[in-house]
Amino acid sequence: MLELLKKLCAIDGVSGCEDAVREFIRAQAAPYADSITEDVMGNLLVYRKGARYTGRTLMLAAHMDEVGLIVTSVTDDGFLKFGTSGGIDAKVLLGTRVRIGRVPGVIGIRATHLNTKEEQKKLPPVSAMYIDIGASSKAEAESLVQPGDFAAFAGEPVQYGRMLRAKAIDDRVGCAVLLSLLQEGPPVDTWFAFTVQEEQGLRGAAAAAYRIRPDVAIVVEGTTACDLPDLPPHMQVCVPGRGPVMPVMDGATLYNPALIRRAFEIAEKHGIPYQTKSYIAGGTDAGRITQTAGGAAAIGVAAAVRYIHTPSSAMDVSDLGAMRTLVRALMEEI
Amino acid sequence: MNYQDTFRDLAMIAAPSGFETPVIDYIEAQARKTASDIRRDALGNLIVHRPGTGARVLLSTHVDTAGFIVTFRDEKGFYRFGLLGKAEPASLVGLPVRTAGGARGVIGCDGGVAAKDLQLRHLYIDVTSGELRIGDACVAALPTHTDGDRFVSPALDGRAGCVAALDVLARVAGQHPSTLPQDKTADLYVVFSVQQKLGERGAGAAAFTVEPDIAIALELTEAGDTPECENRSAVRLGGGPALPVRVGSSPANLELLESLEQKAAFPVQRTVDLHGQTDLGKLSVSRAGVRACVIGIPARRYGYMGVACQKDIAEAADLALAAL
Repeated sequence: MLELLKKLCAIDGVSGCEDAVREFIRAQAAPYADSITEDVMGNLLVYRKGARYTGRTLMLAAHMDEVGLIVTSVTDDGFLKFGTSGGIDAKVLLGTRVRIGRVPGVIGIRATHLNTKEEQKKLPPVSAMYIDIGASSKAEAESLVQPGDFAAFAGEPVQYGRMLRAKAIDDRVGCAVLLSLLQEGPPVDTWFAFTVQEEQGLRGAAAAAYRIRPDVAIVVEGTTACDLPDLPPHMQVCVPGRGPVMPVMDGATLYNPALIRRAFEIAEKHGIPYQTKSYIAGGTDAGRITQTAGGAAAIGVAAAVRYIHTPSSAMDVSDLGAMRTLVRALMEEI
Repeated sequence: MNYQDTFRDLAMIAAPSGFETPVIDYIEAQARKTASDIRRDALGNLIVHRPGTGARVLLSTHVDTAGFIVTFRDEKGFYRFGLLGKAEPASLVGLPVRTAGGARGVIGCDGGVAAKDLQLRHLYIDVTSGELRIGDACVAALPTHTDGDRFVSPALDGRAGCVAALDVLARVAGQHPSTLPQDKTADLYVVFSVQQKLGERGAGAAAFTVEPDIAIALELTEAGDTPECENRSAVRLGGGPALPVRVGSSPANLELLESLEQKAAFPVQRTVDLHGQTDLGKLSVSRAGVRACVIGIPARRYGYMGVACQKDIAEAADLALAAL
């Protein structure tokens, strides 16, 4: 599953243009699925019957899109102006490598010795930044890219120590877990929903949940870990290596308390380490799924990911297997 | 129905947003005295159906109060928490809290932080009796009084509307169908909704399921009859139910509102509630849209404490009944 995750992270699929990720997932899923549907928004909805019928509609969800940039215009000098697609801290953009399809680029930054003392302290707004694709003229740039093209963070996945560093761990880790469970064969009849546009406001999930009408949803995600030296423990949210994160609440969802208690019991019974979020932050497709149509109950299972929404997000690889084991146990027993 | 006893019973139940089961249990037990078609949906909304041949009316009121959810326990045994419903961090210091399980504590703040700099991250719960677990929820442990005509409680927002809705259910059951003109028996759904304080998360799902012709939310409306508030609103305690033309950014259906004004046998207070938050928003945009409005119970709010007038609550119930 680690190799699958690395392959998934290496594919570009910024919110609004998830095609390449979807096609990869479709090819991986096809031999195992009882049905595959791509809806009008681009969600990939895969159904596989399980070992037993429960009478309850179970939906697993993971989103295919990653945060990235969208080209808004080409300047007269052949540089690209851009906006963000999904929440990105402007700090991480300066000097960052990106790729627009096959076209490599760098987000320009003024050489430090040219900055005044005042400018050293200030962060330029995204509107003042630009992508340099090495074009010598506007015409040359326009022959390579156009407004509306998406730029993803560039860089290949790397393992260091116990950590995996890659862009888009949020939420290719969810996609990897879902695919792995699909390929193993789910314990119960299950919808595996690979959603789009989560980073742009949980959009795909609304259409997916409306079609599927789950009773219960398990949303498999990457979530923000801030276990850095300068933060007190209660602000660290969660910690890589301590197991999958099952939050009691985040910005979009209050997870059903009875289900959460049950989930904790199931994890403890199977000896699976788990943690919660010590601080309420972030949001997932569960927020949309629980409020679509007649509503649903949901649990979240997430990987603790440092530096989320940056080119170098990082998770502890030991959490990956634990996530799959936990989700499988929840599918069976929740 | 005895308003004072019912309100006090409801206010005692610690059931903040997301943790409404104990109060839904109580309400269901009351509702079963007069209705049999009752169900709970996936989010925990209670949907009580009193069948009729007329228009389908959804009467909704939320049951959740504001509260706190425990997210972390430090090595000294102090608990950090998140908010269920908006609150100013500085106003929370010193607030006593309690859980449904009977645990008690007080909210404290990190030493050395000035009041003006206080944020949620600086606050913690000091547990003084019982036990707390991560994922538990608690509410403000402030007293509830029903002396004379005033209802004073930290649970006013979330329970006053329930009293009125339960009264409507009881009185509607008392009307024998054969004594009513044929067109009077509305197909009534009373929804006791959840997670309103987290952004009306329950109401939308319930409206989708019920598919009403019209929807009326029984909610609190902020009174403007306290010092220096006259310019915010003319709503006063004891002036009768408020009918807000708009709540927050959600307009009420004016035609429905005016029909309620006409049906009222007592004075009502037409108003605008720019800062309010009610189920109206979610109800009105459900499916292909629903004609909806709010019947507001005037309330003065002082932090977590709310003050309302029994007469206004009873008249809110009367007005809802007149709409059916």
